[in-house]
Amino acid sequence: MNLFSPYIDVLKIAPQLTLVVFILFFVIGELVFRRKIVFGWFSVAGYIIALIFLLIGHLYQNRVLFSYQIVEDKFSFFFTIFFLLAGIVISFFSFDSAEIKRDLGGEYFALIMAAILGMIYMAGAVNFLMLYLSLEMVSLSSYLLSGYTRDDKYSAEAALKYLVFGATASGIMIMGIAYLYGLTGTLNFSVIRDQLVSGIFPSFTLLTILFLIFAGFFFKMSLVPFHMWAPDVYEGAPTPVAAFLAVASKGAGFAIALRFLYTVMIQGSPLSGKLLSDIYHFIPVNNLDWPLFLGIISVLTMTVGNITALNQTSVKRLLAYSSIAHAGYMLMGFAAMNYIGFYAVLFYLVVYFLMNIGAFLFVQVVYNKIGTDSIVKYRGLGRRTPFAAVMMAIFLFSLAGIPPLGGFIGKFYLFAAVLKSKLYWLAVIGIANSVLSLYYYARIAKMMFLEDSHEKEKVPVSAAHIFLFVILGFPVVILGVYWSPVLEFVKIYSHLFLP
Amino acid sequence: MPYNGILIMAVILFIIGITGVMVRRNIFIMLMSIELILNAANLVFIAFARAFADPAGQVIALLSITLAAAEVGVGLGIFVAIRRTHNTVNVDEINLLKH
Repeated sequence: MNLFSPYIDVLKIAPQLTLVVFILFFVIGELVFRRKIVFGWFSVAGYIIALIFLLIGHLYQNRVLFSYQIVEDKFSFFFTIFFLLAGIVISFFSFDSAEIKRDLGGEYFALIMAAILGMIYMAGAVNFLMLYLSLEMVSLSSYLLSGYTRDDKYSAEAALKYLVFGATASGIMIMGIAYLYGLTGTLNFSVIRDQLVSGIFPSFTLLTILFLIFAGFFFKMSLVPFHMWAPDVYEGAPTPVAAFLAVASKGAGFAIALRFLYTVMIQGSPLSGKLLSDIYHFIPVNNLDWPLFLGIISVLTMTVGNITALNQTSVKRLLAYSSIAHAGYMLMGFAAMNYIGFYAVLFYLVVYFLMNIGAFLFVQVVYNKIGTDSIVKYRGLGRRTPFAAVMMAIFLFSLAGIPPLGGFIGKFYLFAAVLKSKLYWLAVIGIANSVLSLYYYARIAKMMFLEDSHEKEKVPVSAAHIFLFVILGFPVVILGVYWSPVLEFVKIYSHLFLP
Repeated sequence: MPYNGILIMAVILFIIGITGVMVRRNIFIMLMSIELILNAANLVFIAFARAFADPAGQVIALLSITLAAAEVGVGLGIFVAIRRTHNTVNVDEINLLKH
């Protein structure tokens, strides 16, 4: 290995460096630019420049950078695009948010960008050092973002709860990493994998260590039993931040969990360049039945999320529980442990990105006008803001998985993966949960269109939000009838590379 | 193995930290307990780094200390906001977000 390779590698992370440059610019930019909204446009420009660099650099595939710290492969490419697009959408989302309008400035966009930078590193981490650092980078930015409206009681409380839960979960995870380091003598994923395959470790110790490490992952993915923070944080945090956490932060959790399970824990050859459709097996640890374990976590997560969502009065809190349930659905793809399950998770993340940010966007639009997200105030909104309400109905029915919409296709592939692995009980419970979730999604739609209120004043939708409704809403509809391009895309990009 | 004592010490620190987060109601004590958890992990890293004569463990311990400092910075900032808006440092009284 060339002694100078780390220095040369710097040029290969141009997208990440672009974000760094913009973050530094936001810190001092307020001295130059008085109008704060200009930083929003700068951040959109930053993400677009990073995307361009990414597409140029995409010519070189499967390389390891910085002495086995991060890897550039198809999988990390997919997630980098995912996070950069999330950044663009969240920037537009934040432009006309009444909650953060007063404090909107360079530092807000810098924090969002720092979190996205951390997520991009998370998706490519092949070393526990990098994994821990990037995960903390995301976490610290997220704590500050959820407490961004610092004079607001709810926001401050959300930040406190997020901090206490998050720091504890990452503390548990680093303890697990420390003992795994003690067991294997390295932090490098591929070396750890080689040692795990040889199976020389005391199995109960290894199981404990894995559970400690999973605590950190489960927290980011908001899976039971590490889900309690999500409703409080999403409800208290400003709506754009809640949408950001629900989609991008959760996506990063799934990225790192997929990479860890499918490169370190997998038996036989890891997912390399070629298409595989057979069933995978994870390394046996203390006779742990992996599909059963992941399936039970999945069932618990979706059931807890859906049942608690049934009688919520705050729409933000309801969407928080619904996002917990969706994490449970996505975990079905893990439990299936086959190739369909792997790309079904990525496909579902794409659809989830569109419909969940869309639903939060409608909450924002309503909040801007009436200053609450209480579900009873949604009565008669179908008349007061027809376009946004129709879009919201599309997002809600897509979240519920009603056939002609994208959410149905996403769920279809997850269930297909589960059935292929003959986990019929998991599929049955998943379908039962989907039916259950229809109740509370349809309740919001019923409030909006079928019930009336004495308020007749129009709810205005700003230009940035109309733009977002269009770019989020139409793909949801189109994906319901013509999804093969996206499916082919995630199939191509669901390949991990382990050096 | 001469490192057994250190590892047992680390586990004790870890358990004290976890218990502190779950039992204590003062947000400052909770933050201190979280620091204990992180330091328990650092101790394990350093013990194993010495046992393997491998610098990676020391590197991650150093970076982990830096991160813990950053976390305290963020935490104290949030605590100032909490103290100002809720006028308390007891988590049992910070319960607006519960339905």
